[in-house]
Amino acid sequence: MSDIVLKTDKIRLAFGGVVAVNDFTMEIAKGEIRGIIGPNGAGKTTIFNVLSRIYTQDSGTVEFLGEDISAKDQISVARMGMSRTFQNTRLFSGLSVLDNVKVALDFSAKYGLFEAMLLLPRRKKAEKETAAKALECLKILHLDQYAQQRPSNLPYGIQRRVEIARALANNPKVLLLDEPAAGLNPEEVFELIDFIKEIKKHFEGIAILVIEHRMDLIMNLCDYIYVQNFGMTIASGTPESVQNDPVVLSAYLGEEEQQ
Amino acid sequence: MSSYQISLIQLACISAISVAGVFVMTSLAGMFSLGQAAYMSICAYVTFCTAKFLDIPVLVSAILGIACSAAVAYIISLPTLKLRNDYFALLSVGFSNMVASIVILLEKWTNAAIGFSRIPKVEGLVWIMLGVTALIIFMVRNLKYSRFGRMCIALKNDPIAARSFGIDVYRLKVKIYVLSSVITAVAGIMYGLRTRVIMPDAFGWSASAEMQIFLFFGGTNSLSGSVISAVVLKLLPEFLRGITVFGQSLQNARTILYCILIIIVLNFRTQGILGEHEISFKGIKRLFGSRKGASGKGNK
Repeated sequence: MSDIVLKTDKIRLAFGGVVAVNDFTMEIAKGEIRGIIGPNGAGKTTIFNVLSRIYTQDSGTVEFLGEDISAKDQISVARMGMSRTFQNTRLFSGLSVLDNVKVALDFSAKYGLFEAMLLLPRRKKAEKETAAKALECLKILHLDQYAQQRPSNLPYGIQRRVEIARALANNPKVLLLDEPAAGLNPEEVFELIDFIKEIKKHFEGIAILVIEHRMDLIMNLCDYIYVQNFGMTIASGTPESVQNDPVVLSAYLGEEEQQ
Repeated sequence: MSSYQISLIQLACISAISVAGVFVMTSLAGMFSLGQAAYMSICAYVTFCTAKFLDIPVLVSAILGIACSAAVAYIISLPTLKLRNDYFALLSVGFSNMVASIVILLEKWTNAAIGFSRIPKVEGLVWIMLGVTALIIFMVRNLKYSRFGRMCIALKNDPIAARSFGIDVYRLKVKIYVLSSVITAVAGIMYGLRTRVIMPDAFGWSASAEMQIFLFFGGTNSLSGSVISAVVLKLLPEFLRGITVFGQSLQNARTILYCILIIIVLNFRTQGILGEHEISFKGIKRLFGSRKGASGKGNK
């Protein structure tokens, strides 16, 4: 059981009268890719926001690396090794691609404000390490040719990947991908699938949780799927079993009128 | 050099230091304040009043003054930096007015609106100023290219994303605000040493606004741009002294002049003259070394 990195137990979150997440229970182990699917407004992103502590749940617990993180904030959870991307890319537009990746490593760099201002040796050493790590991360993911460019000058598909690279720079234990294929054309989606498979190969033991609409991506990648509708989990299981589940089909395609 | 020229250099140095301070806060961390001159005021009054009344050398009391402004900045920043940027800017105006009225209330020591003028004369002041200015610009430049610079730009662009990369946005903002205030405070000491009389009026709202104008004119994300614009715009009225329009020296119209300049820049180049480019030694070398006509604005 020590392989379980992230676990939630009956989390529930309501905004006024709308219950966005209702008793959501899941777990994800090392090296696994799991997916959350569901129509718009099913509360998928809300689940992510609870996991990464942007929101606090009304009830239920979230366990990360065997520790209850219900009382922790976004910052400390990120430092524990939970990385995420956002539904609409949130790259830092004022920084180059390389600097964007460096930022993910910066909280852990060991030099202070005055060492930074006076160019002391510790700063030089730490900066070198950060730069090397960031560049390596970009190289593994074949993004190093864009290192000096501004994110806004890149095509959307590349921006998505840079955002994922940034989330990976710090060697996280869990990677949360919020609709990584949103706004991509079919060709780019296939490239993204290969890209995520490559991540799994290069970052050993990383657990990836994906929210997605695109069935091809989910069915190709995930080992296990949770299907959400109106905040409730209506089905869960392997891609094959979910695909044939009548409840899922009715949620997605609508119910046939009974004669 | 004539004493007039020396005093112009001193004026330029003070302007450069204070804009470097505002650069740290506004350009790096995106906090817009219209009250930074208050820290010049706090530091100058504490430094020169303690030097006078406790009879200690200015060098020692300067440290006291800087420590005092840092403490005030820390206390002020704790509640205000939780606010959204626009409310923070509003509060900073209130804060600077508050400091000015405290100075007037403490008339017994500060001499209120008449001005505190018992400031010792320092020999070779211009060299000290040039040294301090160079040091501060060097330090701010290093800060910009360090992890703090990157984290600040990240939090300015998107605080939620910054938090999800382990950046403690609030604490970093407090740190940067205190640092910025300390740099501005140093400019306050320099101001006192130059004019040898300090009045609350000199550190009012308009002085703070002037710093922001210089910053936005030179380039909101360019340290070299904002420092150069701080020097040039500060000295501009001095060069306009001889020019008269309708029997009035143009120097008196400097506020109007600044306003026209800022309107022109904001209309045609929103990012300021230099935008995001930095003038670096490498870039200058490239310009003069090879005549291939590479641009002098080195992208460091």
